Amino acid sequence: MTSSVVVKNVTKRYKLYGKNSEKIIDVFTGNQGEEFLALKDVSFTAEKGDVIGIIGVNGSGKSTLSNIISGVIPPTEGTVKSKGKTALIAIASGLNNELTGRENIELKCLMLGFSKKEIRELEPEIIEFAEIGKFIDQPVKSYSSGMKSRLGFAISVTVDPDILVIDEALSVGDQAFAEKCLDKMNSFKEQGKTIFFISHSIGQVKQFCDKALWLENGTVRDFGLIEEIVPKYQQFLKEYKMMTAEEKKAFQQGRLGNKSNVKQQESENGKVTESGAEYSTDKDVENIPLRTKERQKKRKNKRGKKSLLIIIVCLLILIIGGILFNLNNGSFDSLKSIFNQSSKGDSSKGLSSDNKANNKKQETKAQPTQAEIQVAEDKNVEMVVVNKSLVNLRSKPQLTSNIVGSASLGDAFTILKKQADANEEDVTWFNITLSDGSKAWISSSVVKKVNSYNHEVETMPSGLNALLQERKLPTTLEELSTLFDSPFDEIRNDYADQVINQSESDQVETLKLQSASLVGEKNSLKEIVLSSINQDYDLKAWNEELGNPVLQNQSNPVSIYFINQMEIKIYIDANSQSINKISLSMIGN
Amino acid sequence: MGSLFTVLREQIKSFYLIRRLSFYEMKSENNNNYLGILWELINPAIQIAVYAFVFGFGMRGGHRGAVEGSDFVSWLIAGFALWYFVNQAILQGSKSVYTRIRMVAKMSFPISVIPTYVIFSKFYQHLMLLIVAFIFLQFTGHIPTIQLIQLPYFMFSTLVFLVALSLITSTLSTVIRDVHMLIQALMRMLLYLTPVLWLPAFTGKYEFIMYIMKLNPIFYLVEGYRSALLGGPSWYMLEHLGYTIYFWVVVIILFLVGSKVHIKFRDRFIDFL
Repeated sequence: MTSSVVVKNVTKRYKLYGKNSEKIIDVFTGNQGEEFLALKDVSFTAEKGDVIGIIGVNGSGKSTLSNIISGVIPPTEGTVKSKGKTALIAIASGLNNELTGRENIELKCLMLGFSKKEIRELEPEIIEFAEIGKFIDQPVKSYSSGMKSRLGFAISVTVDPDILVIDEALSVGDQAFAEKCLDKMNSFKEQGKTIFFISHSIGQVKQFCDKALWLENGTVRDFGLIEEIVPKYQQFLKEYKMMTAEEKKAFQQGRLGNKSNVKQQESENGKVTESGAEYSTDKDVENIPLRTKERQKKRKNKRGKKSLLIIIVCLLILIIGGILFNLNNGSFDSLKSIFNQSSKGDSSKGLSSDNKANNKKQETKAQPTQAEIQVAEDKNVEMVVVNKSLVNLRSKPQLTSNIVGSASLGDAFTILKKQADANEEDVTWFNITLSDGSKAWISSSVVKKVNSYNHEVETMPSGLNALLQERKLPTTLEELSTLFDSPFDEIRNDYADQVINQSESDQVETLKLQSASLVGEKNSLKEIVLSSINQDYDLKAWNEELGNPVLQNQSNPVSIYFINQMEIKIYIDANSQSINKISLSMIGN
Repeated sequence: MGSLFTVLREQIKSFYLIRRLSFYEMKSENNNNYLGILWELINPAIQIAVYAFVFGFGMRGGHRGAVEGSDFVSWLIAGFALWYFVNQAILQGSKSVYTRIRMVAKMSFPISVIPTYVIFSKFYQHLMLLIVAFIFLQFTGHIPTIQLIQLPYFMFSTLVFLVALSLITSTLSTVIRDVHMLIQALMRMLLYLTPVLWLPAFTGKYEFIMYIMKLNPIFYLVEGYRSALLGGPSWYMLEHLGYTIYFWVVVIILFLVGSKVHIKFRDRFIDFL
């Protein structure tokens, strides 16, 4: 015969904790809590084909041992060597309540490491053995406890384990099923499988097992053939029943580990001496160990409170120290500046040419009502017009960042974002999109800010209207904005009969018409230029219809107006004060 | 290193197991409601609606500005689809071991697979949500571009990251149950510290905040998903190559630490229950 399960010097130690804090300290240090030895140095060898009954009174370590043999829990010390597959059958078999019986079968088999094919073969066998009929396709939560254990048993038995550990599982289920199970186990016995059978029923053990392992207080009291062990055990049980409560307790407490074990012995010694004097007062006998425990607890509590106090004081010192240090060091300056900035931002908004009502008073003729402001704000587009002849565009809102391009006088952009300069208080940076789609930052010191709602005009100024009509171009505002929105390819087709000349350079395409030209870039209309105008620049007339020019430059005479988002640049001849040309462009196009 | 290979071997060997178990996991989770698995869509949809209202309409004052070149709702959906998955997977993954160990402990079961199959069960739901989000995005004008090819890469990255992280969190919260509570709190916090609901744009003096926020690997995943779903201008993982490298270094470290603590404690998991 070959050995099937070899258990060698197995010790299982549990920790008993008084408080949660002990538990967590134990995780890190490993020396907290009272130790409890569930198994003490257990060694035995099971041969192949053995049917071993594990017997012992409650709390002698039977279930712990069965769990260790089947690999559910690891031993603290020692080794368990087993050959082949182990299955544990316990009453509380791990079934998933939400899933059906059939699904549970697959789930369990999967967890036992069976392949897809094997599971498909096993499934009907299990269902047949369980005998639960239609319920196999119902969720397990609707099962009766008998059905559950049947299914659990059926699964464990059908998977054909080499070593079977049965932990009091036969006590459930009706007589017929129990017999069926016994039959099955008998056939296992015949197949030479190793079976561990845990039961309190001496009769069942006698009937079924051929060897017995008697556990007492976590140690092996005896191991041998059933005929030898069982009579001894029965004799012991008789004595055990006769024991008084205290004696039983003392009997069981023999298992408290290490340090406490010594203490226990001490107190037991005390008990003996004291019992000599005052044996009749049972209470005292019990009270002695209890008192020492209480004292211990009190001491522990005191220590706990003290350390808690120390920790709190330390934390307070740290926090106060940190605050003081930071205050001196100025680390909070950044925080302060955040608060300052936000309040400043609020006040400056009112002053700057933002969308606030007081601003409107200055720039528009009539004072708008509250409702009008609301509408205006919705339609508002903020733009900037470059008011210096050549300015830099930068990659970041800082004077020190890279130059990514340049813009010239009269160029206008819509504002995507604003950001205050980190160093200069008066300077704001505007994030804008360039005509090639890339983004850049421009400083407020070189631009003029324009709000489109300040330039709302319903109808086309008559002067411009006439000029556009002469050139067979759209004359109304809507038509013009549609023209700016339509693709340049379409425009080229529409005006094909009027085009005199067509030129292209650097992705910029120019369609020359009679006294006008259309400039396109990337398939969209960028600019309409009206030329050969032969008209004097009548400032008053223009201003009356469009308001004061946003920008008027003396050295390079140009007046810039806006109609909504359309920028109108009027180039003036410095000598004759006549208009050279007029350029129309849509901002943000 | 040894423990890393042990865990990896278990993961690869048990792939069929992971698939089946995650399927059952998903099934048993939604068996009780009449709408069943649909809740995995309804739930995020409600959340998206509220966030769109608060962050898209309320906080921005009805401002219809674009975020990273898309309208806010599309931008939110692309990011939130991932966030919902990551959030669920991290929370479920962290408590996966101690809630399920009783079920599996009775066998020689590769315990490192537990967080993985829980994550996978969430992954199926993620795929469902993603399909719905994808269809929705067609109507907001985000027709798939070539950038969509990035999506499988980012899905894979997310899964690996989640598995690595869950190895650590599932172990720690089995040993110390409070860890799970801590993770719950952290995830609630991370929702606002990851660009899911708003796009942080700190420049100048506060640019360092940006770098701190980017230390969070989920930042990388969220932005990657957006790039794939909304058709970003370039390949996100290549454009931010340094960030990609950082992400994978973090994942490898998580995996190393995770497999180490997992192997160290796994024999004793049952003792901690």
